[in-house]
Amino acid sequence: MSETAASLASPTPAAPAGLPWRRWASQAGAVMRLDLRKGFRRPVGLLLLAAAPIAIALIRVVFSAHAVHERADVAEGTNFYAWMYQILILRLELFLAGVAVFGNLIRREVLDRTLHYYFLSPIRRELLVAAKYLTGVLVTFTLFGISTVISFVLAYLPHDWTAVSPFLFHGPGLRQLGSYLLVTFLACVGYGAVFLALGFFFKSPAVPALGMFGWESIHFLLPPLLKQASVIHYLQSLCPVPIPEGPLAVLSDAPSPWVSVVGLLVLAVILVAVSGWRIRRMEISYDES
Amino acid sequence: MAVYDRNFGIYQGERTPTWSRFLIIPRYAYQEVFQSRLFVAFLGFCFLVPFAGLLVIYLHHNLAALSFINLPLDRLQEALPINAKFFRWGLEFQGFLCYVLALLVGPALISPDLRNNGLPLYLSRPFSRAEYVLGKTAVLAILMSAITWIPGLLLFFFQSYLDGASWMGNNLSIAFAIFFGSWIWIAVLSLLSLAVSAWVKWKPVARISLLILYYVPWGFAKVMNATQDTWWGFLVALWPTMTTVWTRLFGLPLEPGDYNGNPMPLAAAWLALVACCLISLALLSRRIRAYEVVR
Repeated sequence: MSETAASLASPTPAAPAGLPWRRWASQAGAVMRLDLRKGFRRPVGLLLLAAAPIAIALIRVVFSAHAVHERADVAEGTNFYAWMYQILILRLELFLAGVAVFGNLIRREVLDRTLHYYFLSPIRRELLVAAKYLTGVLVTFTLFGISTVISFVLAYLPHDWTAVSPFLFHGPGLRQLGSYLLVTFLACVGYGAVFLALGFFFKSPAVPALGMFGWESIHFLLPPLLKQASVIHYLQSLCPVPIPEGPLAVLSDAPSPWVSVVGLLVLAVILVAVSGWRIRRMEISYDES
Repeated sequence: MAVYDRNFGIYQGERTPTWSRFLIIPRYAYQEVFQSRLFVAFLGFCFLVPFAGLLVIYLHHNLAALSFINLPLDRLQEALPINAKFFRWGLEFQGFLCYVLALLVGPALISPDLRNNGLPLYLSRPFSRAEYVLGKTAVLAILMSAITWIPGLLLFFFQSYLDGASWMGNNLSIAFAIFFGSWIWIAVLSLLSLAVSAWVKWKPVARISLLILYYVPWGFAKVMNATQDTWWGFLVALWPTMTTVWTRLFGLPLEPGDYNGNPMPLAAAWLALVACCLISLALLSRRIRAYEVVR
């Protein structure tokens, strides 16, 4: 820890005028490096989560004689992936990874009784929160981004290359992959900011997460106005292939891609700012948790 | 008194009977659990559905009350008949609340003892590892019983009282299903949450692990079954497995819509539940020891 404290306190030359962006960047980099070494050294649970869609796609490849009905039909692979992405990756894995990673970013330091080391270092607390948030986004997006790409490739592997190649390189294939990666990134950003902020208001993030999970799960039943108060509403509208929501779904206009992207980014900035505001007033109490 | 005169003597007081020693753990655990206002509010909420069930049964047998709210009896009997489906639906709802209860209470049961090296304090007394696990399980099992089979059977007996002994005789299988169905779910959830609590050091992380263990295999199973046209995925998902067992215990047919057209065989469901309990017990057995070798 002393090495960390020294690296955080290292006298980086400040910018001559205005805000000391260079020093802040250097300090944020130090916090991120430390967090990556300390908190995400062996992310076994996250790796298992990220591996689940790959496992399903792999099983489909292995049992393709039974699971794939028409090898020349690329649409079958597209539908399979859209279903798997929206049901498993987006609604479950990215959400729960958000709870597990971001809900514990600060809480873990309290439980490990190491938060005061950060607070004793000459670093702004808001910067500490922002750096930890960026670490979380980096870890989750790297893991689930890789999982998204691999499972996307595996989804088309059982199909004829003569049909897949034009779809990928001359059709909408790569654009769809780009959209899925964008949704993955925005989910990490959006859910991350929500659970980071909730972590400051609740001792255990699992309980509010369960409530929010229920809210996001009944999203398709909500009237149009209430739909707008959920993260999934904006993420779903960015998915390139829609999936049916069932006969009970209440129809509403999907927000435009720009509204979704900018809206989620603005939400993330606001929630990280709220977290920064909370940590400025935070007093450490290492009571029995 | 000189120091060398002080000796430890054998405890001469009254001893707790061996069979009931495990109940000491729930007694102290409840003192802590009921300090949380959130938990007390949640527990109150858990009795809303049984109370609503009570009202529905009462309305079925009280024409004056029905006429007061201007509801014809035949319409009520058509919309909400008191049969196996009525009790199964109630058990399913309460079963989900049991999971939330396990999420709130379970993670705090074993991890603090392990984290603070408290196990030797229990196991150095005339208290075995089995009694320790039984005591910790009892904390959850008693609370879960209070919201599942106890109100379920009370509703059953209330309906029997109002409808007569013939109804009771014809529907004894419902009482059996309520009792055994509840206990199976209680055992699965209690052992699973204790195993998570024993292996995950921190409470919040343990809670999130329980969330993940419950929902991710379910999503995995849904996608797996839909895309591979099979039921094998349900083997790893707790809730569909449990609802399969409940449905059969109540003597109801499995609805294909709930299982993507591929209902799980009953034997496979039982096997999955037993495997979950055995794995949880094995994990607990590895972790609950009076000493720990730290390398």
